[in-house]
Amino acid sequence: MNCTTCRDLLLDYLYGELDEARRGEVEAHLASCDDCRTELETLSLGRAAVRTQLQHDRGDNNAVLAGVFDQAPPQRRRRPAGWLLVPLATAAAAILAIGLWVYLPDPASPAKAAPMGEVKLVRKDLSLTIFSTPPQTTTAYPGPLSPDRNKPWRLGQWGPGYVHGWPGLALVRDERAIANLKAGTSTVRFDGVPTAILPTSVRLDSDRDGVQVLEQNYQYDLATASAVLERYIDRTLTVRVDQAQDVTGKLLSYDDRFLVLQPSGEGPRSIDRSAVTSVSFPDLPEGLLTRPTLMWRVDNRGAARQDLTVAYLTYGLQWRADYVVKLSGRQETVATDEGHREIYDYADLAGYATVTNNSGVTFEEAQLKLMAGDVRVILPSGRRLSGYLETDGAWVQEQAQLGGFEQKSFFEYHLYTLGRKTTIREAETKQIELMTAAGVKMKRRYIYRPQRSDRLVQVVSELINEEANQLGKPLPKGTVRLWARPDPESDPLYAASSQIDHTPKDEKLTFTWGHAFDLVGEARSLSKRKLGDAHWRETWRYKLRNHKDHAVSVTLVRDVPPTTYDVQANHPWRAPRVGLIEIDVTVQPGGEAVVEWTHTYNHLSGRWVGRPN
Amino acid sequence: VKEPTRPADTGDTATHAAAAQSLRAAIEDACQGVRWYLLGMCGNWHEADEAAQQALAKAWARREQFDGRSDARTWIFAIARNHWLDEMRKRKRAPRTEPVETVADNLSVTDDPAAGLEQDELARAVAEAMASLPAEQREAVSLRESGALTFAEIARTLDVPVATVKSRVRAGLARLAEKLRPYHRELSS
Repeated sequence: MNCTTCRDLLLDYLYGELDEARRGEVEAHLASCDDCRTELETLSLGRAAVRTQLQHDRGDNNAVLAGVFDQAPPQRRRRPAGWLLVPLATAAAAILAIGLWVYLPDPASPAKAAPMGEVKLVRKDLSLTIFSTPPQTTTAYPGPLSPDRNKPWRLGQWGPGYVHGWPGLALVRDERAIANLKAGTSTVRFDGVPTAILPTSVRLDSDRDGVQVLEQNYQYDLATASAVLERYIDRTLTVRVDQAQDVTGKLLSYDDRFLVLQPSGEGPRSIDRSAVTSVSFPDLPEGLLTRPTLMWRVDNRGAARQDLTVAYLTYGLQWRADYVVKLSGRQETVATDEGHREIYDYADLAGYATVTNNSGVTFEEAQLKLMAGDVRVILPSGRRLSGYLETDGAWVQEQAQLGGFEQKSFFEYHLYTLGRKTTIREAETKQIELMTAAGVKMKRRYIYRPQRSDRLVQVVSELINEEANQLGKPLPKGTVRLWARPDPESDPLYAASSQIDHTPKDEKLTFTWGHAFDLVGEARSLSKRKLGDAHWRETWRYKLRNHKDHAVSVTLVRDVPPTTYDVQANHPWRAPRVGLIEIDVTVQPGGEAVVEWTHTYNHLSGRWVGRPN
Repeated sequence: VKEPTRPADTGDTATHAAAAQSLRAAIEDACQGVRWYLLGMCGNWHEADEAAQQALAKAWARREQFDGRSDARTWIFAIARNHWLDEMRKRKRAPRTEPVETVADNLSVTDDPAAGLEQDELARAVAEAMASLPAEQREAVSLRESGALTFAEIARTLDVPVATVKSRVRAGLARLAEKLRPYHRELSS
């Protein structure tokens, strides 16, 4: 190999893209040629430099990926101060893309807080009822209203964005007082509503007679660059071009690329928006808001002092239950009449509610209620703007009228009410204790399901959710985490986790933890024979080995065809339901138990095992 | 609201879902590479992560357009590259605050202040050297060092001959080596 060929291949060599033979040739040449070796060292040094930079990578793939697959706007990532302004969100992107817009307050007119004739409300009381996550479905839920990400915000562009995770749903009851509601018609302005509100679910109630709602508007025409420009058509504004020249004139039209301005006494002039550095507006046009607001036209024939109650549904609030089961170390072993060994663990159980708020506003001092149970939600047909996710209208009204929600269960659900008021901030996750129970007795079971795994034996804890067992409360669906102590003196360690579904009181709870390290199974089919027309007989042998220092009872669970009519086994068996055989086997320490069984079935009908007569 | 095109209406839903699933896996695989590529381009991981997230979200949003004929990885990288170029164009147009100290974020976290200082100096020198490369060379080097693409794949992403890619990488590396010769010892350790 000569130097020219070697240099051609040097990069491939450096990045490991050469095959074995070629690499050998290059290495042989490098050993003999100083020039080529120097060249390689230079390239390696360059590479090392780039790698140094990559080693400073403190980003996180998962954090980046988290925002990728949602159709919701990308997650806002916290950035340190002093950072360059990369577009953070849609609005910011739009503003950057078309230049920086500046509102110049007109010194003659003071800042407009609330236009005349509008009354602001004082909050008296706030209650939040957060629904639990419905069962998994394959349908994508329509998420919060979201503007088209690539366009400036305008009413016509709002629509439900579909999300695959549950967006969270809550009923908000907001009581506010008005001190000076004048007689006759007036406009009531109600702000502090979440951006994720469902406008069609809003209900307004007055606790006194005499107030009638004539009209309701939900305004989210926010003061974005395009919305402001739209209102300035036919009005005068000032545009700074190329950081030097100011052009003042009447705005005739605008699009993504050009602004058409007519300076007074001249012809229209088209200005390329890429050259525009800023646009100055004399004032903020009326009707544009800086945050989402509900507006009512009300007719008041009663007192000036009124209490209003507003109820609405909003996305963005969700909760889930998390449980911690801490084994106390106390254990009981009971020998049954059949010679099996039952193990009981004692544990402390604590349940927490984890509440997440992504609705867009902070709920101050709210009465928090968590609803457990699967509320039916109606999914929209098509993508019509009126078709948001909503519960039955009548249902919302009913709930809004229920004063206080003090009862523990209503309709088909359960309600957990927090005894004190709490503040739930925007973008906050809060954990609140739901229940605690000490000294709960759990039965530990080992279950061998050869059809799932012929080797592994599952560990399961079973308990009854009853008062005699320190429980007896309805337990909402959630994740259960098990903590155990290796020995009584040491700190508990995280051992396993499991899921439970909504569990009423007096029902059985099953925590499936994982697999037993010291128990090993083995399955083998000994024969399968056809006895005649559609009759079959199968023989199986299962072995269970116990490497623990004490005897263990394992339950072998196996599905058989529902038409099985004969079972012969070397252990007593039972059929808890059609098509399921269970056998309890006790395995001595260091020993092995062998279960052999034969079952016969047909494809016709007949006397099924486990079928009532 | 723009109506997304839905081939599911006419085509086979299962195939469609499987294609989306495989593209999703490809995006997850490519994430690290795209982030490193963008890190090479801008020299700051905050910005790189931000841009990578937007670019990958773009790729995911356009999953209907991915026909499966080209390699998913080069397709994703091409989208990331276009996203980055768009971003650059926007910045040129829009006035913005200049970064106060881009290297500050790359500073090392060590217990030994002296070693930390040395590393910081090195990081600053590397960032400056990278920034001084001509855009084409920086791009080629970043793509290659992202660890996700071969020379041939880079050539497809950039739509230039393989030889051009290699000569850009070679020139870029040589230039870096020349600039960072004083840090020879730290770099080879």
